Amino acid sequence: MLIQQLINGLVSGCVYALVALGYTMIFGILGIVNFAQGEIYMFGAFTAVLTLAATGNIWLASAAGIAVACVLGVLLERIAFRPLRGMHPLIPLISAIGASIFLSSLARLLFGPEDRAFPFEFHPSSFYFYGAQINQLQLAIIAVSVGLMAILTLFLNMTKHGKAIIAVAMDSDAARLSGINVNRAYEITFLLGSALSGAAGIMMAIYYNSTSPSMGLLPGLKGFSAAILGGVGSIPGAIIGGLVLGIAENLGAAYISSSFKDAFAFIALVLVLILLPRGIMGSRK
Amino acid sequence: MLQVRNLHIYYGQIQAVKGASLHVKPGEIVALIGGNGAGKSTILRAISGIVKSTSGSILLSDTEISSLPPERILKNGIGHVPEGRRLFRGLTVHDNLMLGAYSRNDSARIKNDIETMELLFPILGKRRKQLAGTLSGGEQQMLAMARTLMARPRMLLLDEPSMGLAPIITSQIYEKIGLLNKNEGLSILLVEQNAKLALKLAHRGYVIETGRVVMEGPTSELRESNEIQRAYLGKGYREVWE
Ligand SMILES: Nc1ncnc2c1ncn2[C@@H]1O[C@H](COP(=O)(O)OP(=O)(O)OP(=O)(O)O)[C@@H](O)[C@H]1O
Ligand SMILES: [Mg+2]
Repeated sequence: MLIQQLINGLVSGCVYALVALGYTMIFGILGIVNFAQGEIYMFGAFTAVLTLAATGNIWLASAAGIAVACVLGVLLERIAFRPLRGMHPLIPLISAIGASIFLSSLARLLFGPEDRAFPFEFHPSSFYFYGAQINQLQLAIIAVSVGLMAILTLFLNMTKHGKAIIAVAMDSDAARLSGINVNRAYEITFLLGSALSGAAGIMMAIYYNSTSPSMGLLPGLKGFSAAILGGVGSIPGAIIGGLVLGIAENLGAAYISSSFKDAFAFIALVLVLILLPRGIMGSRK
Repeated sequence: MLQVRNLHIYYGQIQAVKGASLHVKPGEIVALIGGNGAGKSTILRAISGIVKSTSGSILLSDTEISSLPPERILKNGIGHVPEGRRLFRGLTVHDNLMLGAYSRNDSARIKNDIETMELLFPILGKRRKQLAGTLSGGEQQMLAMARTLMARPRMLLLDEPSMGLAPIITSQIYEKIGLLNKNEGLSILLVEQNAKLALKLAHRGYVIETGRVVMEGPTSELRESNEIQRAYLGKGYREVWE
């Protein structure tokens, strides 16, 4: 039972971590909270579902889903945030909420309000591990998530463009004086964050076998909470925050009450912030 | 080489620069001196493109650069070592140098230039893997200069390189600035609060007060001027009159 809940928690935790990475990277470099992250997740999922229905090719569908998420992210930066740069921080926040409402209404218009099943029946085979039932789909989600996080970490720490993004996050004027095109760095950041959210959305659409225009709402909020929980701006913090949140809500649902599953994530957030106001990995200066 | 004409710069409603004009000839060291808030740093920021002027022109070898973004101005050959060093404190010394070369693609020569920097400032070689934020003030100033030099500029804008440093470290840094000018032919626009130092090293100088150039000329003349001696070289009336 415990191991079962830990595995289930790990699966949702990976998804929250992917969404949290987008929040934390964008906050780290631009100081804004991109509340449309959950809608990008949803658009990634919808694009994948529609492409899969049309072509029957799951790889093509995933690629299309991620590509649309990336394009949306870059457009969002251009339209909703770039013109507001240098203004009071509340203004881009309102713009982000507006973008989020716009995108979910657009999805309702384009895709209809009802739930859609994934047009593809997965019959993942399961195996037992210390009494816990684990299926291949869960393993695949964990593996893909870990792979994406590893790629992101390597990109940021090992490549020239990745280091440039870190430099812009540290001091954007100094970065400009070093010849770094900050607009490009912002674009790459939105692109990466959106790709991760899109991938998370696609995986969850497969996992729960459902897609709907509001599917991004809770994962978006929980990803945001995970980013704060881990210490906003911190990459390892976002990953740890996501996992903690995912595991906490599954344990809470299993041992206390399953009808309050979503509440446990936010209770965990409040508890951690009372103990560690800057988040788990936040700097304590 | 660099020609600034009738520059006006605002921060919101506040006018920081009110029609300043100055120029730097190839191979020259030019000092900008003046008190706190005179607008010296703002002029440098406008030249490197970090702030935009509302009117006036900035010509580099007869090309207008005032509308270009900072990364293009750097590519055109102007490197800016900002006030307060502004290092990437959480990254290593080596990473800072590599980021200075961000605009370049010739990796073999970048490696070569890092070695050159470690010869010019040997401490940077010893501290290669150390985080920039943990360096001493003098080391940070050296790293800030080396980071900018990694872009291979033809002209260097230096904003208060002596800020907060002990006199012995300051003179080491000034010695390097002199060397870069003499050996590499680098043109230098130097902002300093410490007028004595700047007027000793530079060939020409400008005195800035409340956003305007109030005096200019060869440093030998400026050093002799009574007003400058009183206002910036810290000599009392008695000393000047006698
Ligand atoms: N970012 C900013 N926003 C608003 N006003 C600014 C800003 N930066 C500078 N100023 C103002 O512009 C004027 C010129 O500032 P500047 O930094 O250019 O002076 P400075 O000559 O470099 O002074 P110091 O020797 O103290 O560095 C000052 O009145 C300052 O308050
Ligand atoms: Mg200044």
